[in-house]
Amino acid sequence: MKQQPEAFHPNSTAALADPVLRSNFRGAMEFLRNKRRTAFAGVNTEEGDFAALSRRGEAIKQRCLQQLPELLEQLEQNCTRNGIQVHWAETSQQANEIIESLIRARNGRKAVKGKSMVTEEIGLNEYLGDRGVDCIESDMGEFIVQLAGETPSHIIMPAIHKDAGQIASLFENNLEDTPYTEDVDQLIGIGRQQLRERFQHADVGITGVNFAVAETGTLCLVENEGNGRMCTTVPPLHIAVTGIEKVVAQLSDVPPLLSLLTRSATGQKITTYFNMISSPRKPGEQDGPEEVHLVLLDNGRSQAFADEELRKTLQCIRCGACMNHCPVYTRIGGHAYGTTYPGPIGKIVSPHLLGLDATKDLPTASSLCGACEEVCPVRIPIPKLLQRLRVESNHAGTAEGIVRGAGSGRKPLEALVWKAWAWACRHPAIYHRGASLAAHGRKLFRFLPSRWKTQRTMPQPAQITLHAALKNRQRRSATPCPQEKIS
Amino acid sequence: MSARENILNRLRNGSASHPAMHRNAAHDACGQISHASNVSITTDRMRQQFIELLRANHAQVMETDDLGLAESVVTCLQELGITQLMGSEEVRFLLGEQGEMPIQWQPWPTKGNDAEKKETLFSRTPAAITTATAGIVETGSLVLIPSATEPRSLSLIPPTHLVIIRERDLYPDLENYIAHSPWGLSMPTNIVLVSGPSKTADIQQTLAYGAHGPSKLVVFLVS
Repeated sequence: MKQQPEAFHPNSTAALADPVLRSNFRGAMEFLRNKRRTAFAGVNTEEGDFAALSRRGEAIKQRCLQQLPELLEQLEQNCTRNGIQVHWAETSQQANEIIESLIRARNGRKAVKGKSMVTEEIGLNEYLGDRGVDCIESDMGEFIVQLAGETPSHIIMPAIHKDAGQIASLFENNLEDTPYTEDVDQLIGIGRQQLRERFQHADVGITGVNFAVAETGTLCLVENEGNGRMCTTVPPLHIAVTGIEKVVAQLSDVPPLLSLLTRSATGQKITTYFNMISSPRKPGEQDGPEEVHLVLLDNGRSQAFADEELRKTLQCIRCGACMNHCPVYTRIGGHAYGTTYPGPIGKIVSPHLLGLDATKDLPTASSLCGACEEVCPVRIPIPKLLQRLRVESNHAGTAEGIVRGAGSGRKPLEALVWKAWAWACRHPAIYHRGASLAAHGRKLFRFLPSRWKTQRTMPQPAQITLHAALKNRQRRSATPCPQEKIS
Repeated sequence: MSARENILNRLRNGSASHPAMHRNAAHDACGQISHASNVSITTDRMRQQFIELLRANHAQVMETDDLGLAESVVTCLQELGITQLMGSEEVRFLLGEQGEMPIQWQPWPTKGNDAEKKETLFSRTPAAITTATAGIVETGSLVLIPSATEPRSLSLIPPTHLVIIRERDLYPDLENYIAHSPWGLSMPTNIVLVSGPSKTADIQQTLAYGAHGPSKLVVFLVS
C-alpha cells in the first residue's frame, strides 16, 4: 500500500467530517486509556508508580541502544549458532527481495502473516502478491483490514476504525456462505474457521519481533490470539522481520519491557501468549519450522541513531499508548497520517523512514500538549523531538539539518518575514516606528489574508504600544502619587 | 560493501560521534518491581493469586493432588463432552494408564508426513494435555517448554488444552523465574508463556475467546 503523508491536510479534513469514524475512534481510545490506567494503578514498585517503572524501561533501552552495533553482531552470532539464519537489509526493497528469495527457494506459494508493523512498513504483502505469493494476514484485525483493502489505522488494534456492523457487511460480501451477523463471537468464529485452513496449508509463516535477545539469540513475540504461534509453529519455514532497534542485550532485560508493553498497549498484566523462539526444529523434535530466518532492517533507523537527541526515537517498543492519548490522533484517526506508523510516534519515526520532504506536515500536526510523553513507557520526549524536526524541516545545511529532506519545509516568504523581524529588533528606532504604525492601523489587521482566520478571530495590536504605555507611566510616577499596592 | 557492513558502519560512526550517553547499567536498577514482598508471601497466598489471575483470564482451574489428578481430568473432559485426549506417554502413565477411563487416549501421530500429522491435529484432535514447567504468580502464567514428547502443536492446535502444573513450580514473577532457569544461555527451541485461552478484542473492543489457539484452557494445579 502506497504511503501518502503528503496528503495529510486533505486527509485530516475528510476524517474530521466523518461522524462514524470519529465516534469509532473516540470510543476505542477511551476504552484503551481506561484499560491502561487500571493496569498501572495496581503496580507496586519501590518508588511506587509508573514513573519508576518507565524510568527503568528507558534506562534499559538506552543502554541497549548505546551498544547497538555490538549487540546486533552478538545477536547474529548467537542466532547463527542456534540455527537461525540472519539477513541484513538497508532498505525496504532489499528486505522484500531477501524474503521473496527465501520463499522461492522452497517453492512457496502460500504465506500466513502474524501481526507485524515492519512488514507493513516495507509493503511486503503487495510485493509478494505481485510475484505470485499469496500473503494472508492472520491477526483478526489485520485480516479484516486486508479483506477491506485497507491498511491498519492503529499499530495495536488495526481495525479500530470499523464497528461490528461494518465488519459484518464486509464478511457477508467477501466470504463464501457467510450470513450477516453483528455477533462478535460469531464474527471471530468465522475468521477462525477461514484462517485455520490457511495455517494448516501454509508454506511459510512471516512475523515481526517484539524483542530480539542478543545474549541467547532468541526472538520474542507478544500476542493474544495465537496466530503468531501458528505462524511460527505450523509452516515449514518461518521468516521473522525486525527493525534493528528491537535488540536487547540479555534475557533479564525482557520482563520489565514486556510488562510495560502489555500494560501500556492493552492494559494487560501480560498477553495470553509470550512466545520465545531460539531455534528451528531440532533433530528428534516432532514439529516446528525446519528453517527460521531473521531479517534485520535499517530503513532510515541508522540516521536517527546518528544523533544523540533523535536516537531516543529508537527507544520505542510500539505500544501505541501515545496514539491513545493524543488529541489529534483521537480526532483524525490513523489513516489521515498516510504513514505506516500513525500518531505521535509516527510523526517522529516517519521522517527517518520516508524523508522530511514527504513528511514535513507531520511534525506540525501537534499541539505539543505533552500527553504522549507523559504516558510513554520508555520516556521518549516526543514533543521535544517534534520541535527538533520542525527545526530540521526549516534548516538545510546547518548543524541541525541532518535528517534526509531537511530544509524542505522552508517557505521563502516566512523566512523573509522572520529576517525582517530580527533586523527590526536590532534597530530600536525602526522597531518603535513600526509598532506605532501597527497600533494606528490596527483596524486593518482583520483584512490581512491568513489561514489563522478560518478557525479563530484575528488578533489586533493594542491601541497603545507597550513602549508608549511604559513611557506614560514613568511620566506619571515622576509626579507624587499614591503608592501602588503590591499584593 | 554488503548491507551488513554498511549498516554496522553507519551505527559505529553514530556511536563514535556520541560516545557518552548519560546512562549506565547501574541506572537500570531504579524502578525495579519489588520482589521482597512477593518472595515473603506464603505459598498459600501465591497459589491463591495464581488461581485468581488465571480465572480472571477465563481459564478453568482445578485444584487436586497426585491421587485425584486422573479423576479430575476425567470429570473435566466429561463435563466438556470430550471423549478423546492427546498427550505424551509420560502423562498417560501419570494418569494411571487410563485402564478404567472412559476416554480414548490419542498418541501423537508418529506415522505419516508433516501434512498428514497436521491434518490429524487440525481436524481430528478435540483436546490435548501437556505439563507446565513452571507457573508465574505475578501474571498468572504457565511456562510451557515443548519437547520431543510434548510438541509445540499440542498446546496450540486442539481447541481444548489441559495443563498439569505442580504447586512447587510456582515462581513469584518472570524475572525471578529467568534468574533460576536451568537452561543458561542455550535456550530450548521454544518457551511459551500461556495466561489463558486464546482471545481477541479486535472487533469493536469486544472480548471474544478462541481466536486462533485453544478456546478452552483447563489448569490442574497439583499440590
